[in-house]
Amino acid sequence: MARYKRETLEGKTVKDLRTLVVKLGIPGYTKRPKDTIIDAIMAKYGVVGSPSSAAIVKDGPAQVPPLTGIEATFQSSITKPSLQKRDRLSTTIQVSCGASAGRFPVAGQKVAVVGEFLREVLNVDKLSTGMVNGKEVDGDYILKAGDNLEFLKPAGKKGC
Amino acid sequence: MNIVIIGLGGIGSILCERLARYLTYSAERGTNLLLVDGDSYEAKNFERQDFTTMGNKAEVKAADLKMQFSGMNVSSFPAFVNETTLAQVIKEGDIVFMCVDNHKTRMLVSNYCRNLTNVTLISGGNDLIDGNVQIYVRKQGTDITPDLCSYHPEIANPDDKLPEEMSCEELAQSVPQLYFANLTAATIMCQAFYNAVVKEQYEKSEIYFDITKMTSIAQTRIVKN
Repeated sequence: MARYKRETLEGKTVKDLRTLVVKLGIPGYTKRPKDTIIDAIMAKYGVVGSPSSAAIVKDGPAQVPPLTGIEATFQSSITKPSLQKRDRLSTTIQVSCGASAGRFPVAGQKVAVVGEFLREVLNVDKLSTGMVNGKEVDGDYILKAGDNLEFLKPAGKKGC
Repeated sequence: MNIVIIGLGGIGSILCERLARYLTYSAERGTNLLLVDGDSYEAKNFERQDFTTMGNKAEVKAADLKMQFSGMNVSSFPAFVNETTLAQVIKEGDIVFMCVDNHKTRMLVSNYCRNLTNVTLISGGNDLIDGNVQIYVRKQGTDITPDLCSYHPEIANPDDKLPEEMSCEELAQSVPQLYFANLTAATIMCQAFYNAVVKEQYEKSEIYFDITKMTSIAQTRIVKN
């Protein structure tokens, strides 16, 4: 399956992008604005490691591949709240780390990918273990609707 | 009821007075309270710690509490806990509050409690603006909630030292702390006591807090086999 860089997509005309989105079998985008179509294509067929995706994960470690598939979804749902509701995912999952928590549209995503993406938002430690519904899971666990994800935060040390 | 408070610094010095007030005027009156700490109050501690005179922390706070709550049976153990002294401090059926500043003591106490038949251990710790409280309940030789190490490898394999193992230079190094973070940890430990001991509710056994976000979250922890 072909993979696309954001820069490549941005160089295409809206007409070309609409043709491409149909060819890729992504429904509901033939009448959407250019940025939205690009987000949708990047969400499913974005290239791992493209500069635009690296920019989303601020201060991420160099050895960890930047996000691709999930990021456009997040962009649409969180950083572009002005988008129409039908363009956002409706299934959100409670994700927490320490006293930080929120609901995010991460059903269908791997725990490791979610931890990487929410590292700054929830202050997730790089070595933190993911726990789903109270049980430890590995990074490949795919989140389902109704799951409750917690990234374990180390215990407070001081107090004396 | 026998209650032990280990550590009478930022968290413990606040906690012991609130707890003593509750115990004095509740159905739990007649409780024995043992205060444990090998450290001494110094002038620099006034910033975050509740005390009236200089001297060994356990002895000073025991004297304070006796004066304030005359009906309480308060005693002191003016030494740090270690593998040798643990058995003198914690007995079967005790309720233990741990307000220390190192994971090695947390690990020692948690592991010791795992070998008791009945015990309740409530441990609190904080960094500058956030922290957590853990509740370990063991009844009839069975863990009702996980011990402190189960979900915290940093406690199970501590990279720090006991206070008595530290040099003068290491002891002099202080990590910045905030009185309000200590106060929050102490308050949540009181809530943990009320729920786990008075109400016997154990569903939530770890509570995280962050004073800058003004939030706390209680988590359910499953006992590992």
